[in-house]
Amino acid sequence: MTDLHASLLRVVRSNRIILNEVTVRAVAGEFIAVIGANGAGKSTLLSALAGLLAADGGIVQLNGRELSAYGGRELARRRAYLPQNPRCEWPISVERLVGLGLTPALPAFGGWSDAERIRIDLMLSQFDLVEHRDQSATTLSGGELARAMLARAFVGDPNVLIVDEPIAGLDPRHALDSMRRLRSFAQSGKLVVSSLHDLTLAGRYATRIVALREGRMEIEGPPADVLTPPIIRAVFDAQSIVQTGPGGLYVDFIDAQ
Amino acid sequence: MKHPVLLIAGLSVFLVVMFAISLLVGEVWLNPFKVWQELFLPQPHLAALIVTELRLPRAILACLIGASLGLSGAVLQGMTRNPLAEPGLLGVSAGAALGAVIAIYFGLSMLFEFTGPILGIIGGLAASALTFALARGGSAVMLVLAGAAVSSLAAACISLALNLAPNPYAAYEISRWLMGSLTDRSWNHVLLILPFVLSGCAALAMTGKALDALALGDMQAQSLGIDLGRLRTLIIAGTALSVGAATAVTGAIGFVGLIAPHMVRPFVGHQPSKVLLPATLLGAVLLLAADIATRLIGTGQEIEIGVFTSLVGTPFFFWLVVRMRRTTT
Repeated sequence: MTDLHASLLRVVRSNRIILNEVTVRAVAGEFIAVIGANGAGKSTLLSALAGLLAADGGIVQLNGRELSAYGGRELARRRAYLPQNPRCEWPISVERLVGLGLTPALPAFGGWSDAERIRIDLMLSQFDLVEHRDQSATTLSGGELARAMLARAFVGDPNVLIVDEPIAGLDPRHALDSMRRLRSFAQSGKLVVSSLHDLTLAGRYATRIVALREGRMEIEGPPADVLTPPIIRAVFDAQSIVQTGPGGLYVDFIDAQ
Repeated sequence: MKHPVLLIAGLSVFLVVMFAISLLVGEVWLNPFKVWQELFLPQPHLAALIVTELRLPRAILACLIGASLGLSGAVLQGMTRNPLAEPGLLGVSAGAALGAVIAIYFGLSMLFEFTGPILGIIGGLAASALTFALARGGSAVMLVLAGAAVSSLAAACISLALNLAPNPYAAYEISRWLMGSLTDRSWNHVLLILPFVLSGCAALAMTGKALDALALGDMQAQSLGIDLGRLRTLIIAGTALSVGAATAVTGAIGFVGLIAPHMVRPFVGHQPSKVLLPATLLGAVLLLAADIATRLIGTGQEIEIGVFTSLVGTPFFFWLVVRMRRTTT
């Protein structure tokens, strides 16, 4: 059973405290949305949970074992990570891009095995990328690239997916598409941790919300408990109206001036 | 268009042809059949001597150096994801040049023929170690900046040596050496750099998988299990050994490391690991071709190969900048 546990995480950069004793525990089946204002420490928390950043205090454990005790490839087979606005810097084909997700399983020299090719094909069809297979990844539209990156993250069949702002810059249809895919990944018994700015989508798709404010954990809990005007004001310094409409919960920020 | 195997086979054939031409062409044109017959005569004849003692070591040096430049350029462009990256970037060439200049300046090369190349190799290693220490833990951009700083330092020291040169002859010899040349190089030069070039190229050849992952940026590559620190060490050590040793015997030869990866990239689907082998082969082909060209161009004084590659390579640089401007705006 997947269990990702950060306790008393502390990160200091250039004498500024980015994360201050943050404790989070997440298990398989959860879709955790990390929310907070710009500079609240969301990205730093995600990098630390992914084992990509050396913390100045506290520990992160995956299944009871400290992340730093895992080898790079060993960890890479268990968790996938997507940074904010992931880009592809060479015009390689979409098939190649998706296949890069298999890097930790590949030998130093040599290509994909038959099983790996089948897995890549499966991802291409699941993410509606079959027609783009040979297209150069640098010519994809924003929505297509987002799908390709998710396919690249899913292709290695990780147990944990950590993804930073997956829907930033996506139009509503593609944003909903990405959120749906993340939720169904979590529902299949995996763990998803994602930072999100869109509170409405966070409230509708996530199973739990973690709110950061100035590097500290402000509150965590089910969306209905966290997404209330008083808490939103405490986290974002902004007035809001939270309602339930036909599409589910939605959060509307209002100008209080 | 994506046929790496065909590309590699084609380049290999091309390499063999250029190598053969390189043995036969020059001030004395040789008949291949005559050379072949003379090679097996008990007494050495002129044609056979020209081939075995002059042109063969020169052609092998051209291959080794061109291959080092091509491979290292491909690896550096892959690591920095910058198409303008080239082996001189890490300060290796400037460091190696400084080492050799020190040998000339203090007259050490008079005492022992190979002081120049040996000091050159040491200079290349020292410069890249300094670059590495300066950029430790930083990004690829940091590494490039550190390399620029180290190159500037080495260039300043070379200028100082030229400035303070004890006699005009030393200054002439230094500036001559800086042009990059393959003339009058012997088997000893080949043997001297061979272990460095081979071990350096072996280190660089191991970077393919990591370079592929780096197409997704540092963070994603790291998340895929790529050890960026180890990768950087491999690349710096590999470049220092191969290009450092090459520069130490010939002087700086520019542009081959910049051009070779570009020319093959479209044929391998732009995949960084697939660029390495063809870029290595093409680097060797280009340097052999440049060497042949310098022998064929009928100037009174033979044009040095470093000067030739710069003259031919610069327009390519212009074209690259124009193309980048077109695609980014």
